[in-house]
Amino acid sequence: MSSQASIQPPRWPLRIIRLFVKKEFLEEIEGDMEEIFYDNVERISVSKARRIYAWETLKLLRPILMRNLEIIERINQYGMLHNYLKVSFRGLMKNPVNSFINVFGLAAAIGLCVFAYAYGRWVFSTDQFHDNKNTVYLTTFFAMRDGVNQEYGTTPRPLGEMLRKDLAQIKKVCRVDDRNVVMKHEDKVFHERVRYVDPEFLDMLTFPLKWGTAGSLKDINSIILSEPMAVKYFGDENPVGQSILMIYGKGQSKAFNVAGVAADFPKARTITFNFLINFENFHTTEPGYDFHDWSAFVNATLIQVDHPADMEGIEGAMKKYVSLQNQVDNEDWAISSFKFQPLSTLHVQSEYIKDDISRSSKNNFVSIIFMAVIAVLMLALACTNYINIAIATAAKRFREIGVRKSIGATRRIVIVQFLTENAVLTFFALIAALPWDTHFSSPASNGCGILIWTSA
Amino acid sequence: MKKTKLGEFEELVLLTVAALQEDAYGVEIKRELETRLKTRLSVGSIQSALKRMEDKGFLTSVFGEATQKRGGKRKRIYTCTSYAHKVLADMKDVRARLWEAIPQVAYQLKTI
Repeated sequence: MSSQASIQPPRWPLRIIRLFVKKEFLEEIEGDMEEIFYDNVERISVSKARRIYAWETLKLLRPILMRNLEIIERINQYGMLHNYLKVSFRGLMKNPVNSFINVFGLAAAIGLCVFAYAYGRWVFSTDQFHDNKNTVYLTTFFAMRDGVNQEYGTTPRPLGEMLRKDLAQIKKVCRVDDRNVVMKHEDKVFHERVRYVDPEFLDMLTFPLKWGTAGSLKDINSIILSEPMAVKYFGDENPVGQSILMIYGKGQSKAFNVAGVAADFPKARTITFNFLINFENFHTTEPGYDFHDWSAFVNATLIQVDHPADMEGIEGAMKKYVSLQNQVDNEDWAISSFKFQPLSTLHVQSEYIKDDISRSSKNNFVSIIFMAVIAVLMLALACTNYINIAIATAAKRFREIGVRKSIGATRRIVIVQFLTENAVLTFFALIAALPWDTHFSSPASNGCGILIWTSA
Repeated sequence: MKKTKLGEFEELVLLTVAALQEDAYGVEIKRELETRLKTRLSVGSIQSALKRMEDKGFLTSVFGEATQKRGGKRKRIYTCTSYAHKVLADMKDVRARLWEAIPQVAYQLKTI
């Protein structure tokens, strides 16, 4: 026992048992533990003895050896809680009409609140699925029209090519222009709108393909379809490799190879497409199409930079193009400046941009406010109604409270009982609210928004 | 026989206490049972059995002497009450009679 001074059992398990084990048992148990520890030290290694000591100490934490902590006392009220639940159910069954009004009113209010939240989330999640949402910009310009300085989403035709050549900060440029054509595959012939884009379109915007490869857009004879269009012309089968005829004028047509089909678009988006073909096709389809005509416009020019901070330099360099543009146009159409709108906030801004390719509505944001106000009012109404009925029922139950108090219930216990009843009722309301919401909203498959009937 | 509420493990501990007499304190009970059962037991299981039986009136206890090895902490020596002796004897009796019944039952089963 000479080494006893240096070798000691670990301290922390001791602290735990001193905290939890009953005081009157501590001396005996601590002594036993120490005796076993020093027995073990003589037999086996010190570290192993310490490990055994700690493990054994933790195993001492058994209900019979433990102090009656307040927490344990509360757990022991299980029996009373069980009784409260039983009384709550009986109370609910006793006044079915009151209970129904309470549960249904609360359910409607909660349902509406969740719905308003889901709608808001859907609106704010618009376009957020694009990986490059912070580095892709839509080029816009300002011009005085009818005495107002307005923002337009279209761009002069040559601007995209010039930006690509002149400014090193701009990594990718994509011109977008739309034309109405007729599409034909076997006996299916429809009027359609095709989107002429530069091959970068699918790099800059995140539209994953269900079939085919995004790079195939570089081929002038390739066409990429949206999923609904693929189903419309080719059914559910993979159409990659098949051909589709685009009729763009009287007796003029061009056959395209289907090179890809986009997966279903997320519900919350502002930019979409039906058909994508290479921008260079204008050489064929419109022989008179002048790529360098400043007086003509394309529907959109998207640019991508490496870092949003690069935009300052680019915006500074845009003055030169303003004067280039104004040389060809008459004064009425003079533009005052160019601007770049980030993709991430385009769904907010596009309401104020004329003729831009993204689709969204100011009404979405107004609706959020209206719906939030209505939801909160409904909830307040349901709550006051609920409080009213709860107080009225409580007044009827003075006798029950009296009996409970006379057999030893304290004020606190009666309060807990009534709170339990309310919790039960609210829980039912919550359950009743769920189908209400799943009926109108369901999580979108891509996890970036919520599908609501208005988005269809 | 009336219900005694004595578990199997409790009975073993109780018998050990009865056997050890003045040496019956936590560590010694554990050591004795471990050698007899040829298994490892935790302090917690022994202690909870002891405390439970003390509550039920099978055991009484007094503080014994303190040793250096125990860090100056006193032992608690357990003693069986007369009630415990009676219950143990009853149980032994019941078991013995059951054991006696076994060969007869087996014999009868065979003949049927």
